[in-house]
Amino acid sequence: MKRRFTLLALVLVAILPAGAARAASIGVEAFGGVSIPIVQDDTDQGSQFGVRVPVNLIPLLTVEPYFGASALGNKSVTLGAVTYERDGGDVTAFGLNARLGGFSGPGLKVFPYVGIGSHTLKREGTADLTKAGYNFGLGIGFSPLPKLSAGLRGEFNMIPLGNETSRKFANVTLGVSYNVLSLP
Amino acid sequence: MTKLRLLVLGGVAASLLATGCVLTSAQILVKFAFPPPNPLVVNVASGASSVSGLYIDLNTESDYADNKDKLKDIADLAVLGDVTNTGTGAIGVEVWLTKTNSGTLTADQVRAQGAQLWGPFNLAAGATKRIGWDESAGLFKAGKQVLIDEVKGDGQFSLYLIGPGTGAYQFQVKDGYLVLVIGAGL
Repeated sequence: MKRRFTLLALVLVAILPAGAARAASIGVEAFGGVSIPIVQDDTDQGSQFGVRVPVNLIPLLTVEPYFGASALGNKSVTLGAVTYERDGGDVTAFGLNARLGGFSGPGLKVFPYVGIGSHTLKREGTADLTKAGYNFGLGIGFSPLPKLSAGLRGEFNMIPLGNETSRKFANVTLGVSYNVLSLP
Repeated sequence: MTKLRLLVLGGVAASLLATGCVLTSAQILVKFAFPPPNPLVVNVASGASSVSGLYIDLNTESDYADNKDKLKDIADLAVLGDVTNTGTGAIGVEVWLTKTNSGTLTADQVRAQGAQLWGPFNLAAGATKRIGWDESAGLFKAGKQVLIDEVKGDGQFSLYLIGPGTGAYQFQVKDGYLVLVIGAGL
């Protein structure tokens, strides 16, 4: 896990231009949407909510500490004449995204992003599991009012479990962010 | 800007590669009905009473057979069914596992030769209760690892349903199933 964080840090360092200090912006974004399990027979689609704190220090890069929580849907399986239901489980995550471009300002923005985080999977009858997870996706955002932005994101989220298996999710979220601080 | 995007994409690719072949894995449900008779009747007078083993050959289930060579892990498992305590005292139903087709054993032999997989599932005299999946998942014991090894091995083993201690008890299990969610490469 340490190696993976180091890898991400190296990528971030590589894309930071030297002497890039300029105007800084800090925002707060609330988001919500759906989390769709990919090739998982034992859990179903659920909801996802969370908060991101976009920090834009250089023109081409915004970093986003985030917290997200998913409540996955229960899975029903019919065996003979009886239908059984399994708790879909919850996933909580906190981590850091790096996205191209700023998050505030006028106009339509399309931005790819990549992130890494600590994910905890909880499920009734099963011990909690905390693992590093990765995500990448594409967002589209616009600013209808000064300091206010809205955006739609589609992302792929993967949580390796060890033993060469993982839990994978497609997440689609809508978010609204407010620019709380802008420095010249 | 192009260089920046390439660096980000490279970072994503390197990060994913560092995790191994996890991208192409899946969680696949495998369900195995208890062999006949249905309901399974257990009637034990003492530890010396005979108990029939349920011989399980997962290879007869296509979901398992099709994915056996790609099997990496067990993501979830459950023992399901409707249990009726037909005796006169409260019981805690347990499931024990042996690694072979060990046939009929005494309750004492099951405890000596096998590993406790699951239970106790407590039931008052005369009561019938459906084993819920969530409850079942929480009742697995150390024998779970033996089951995982068997599932990753030849997929053949025997299950024994017995009650507590060496006293007399009787119960029956209707529409019993063993359910596995296997983590497999695709």
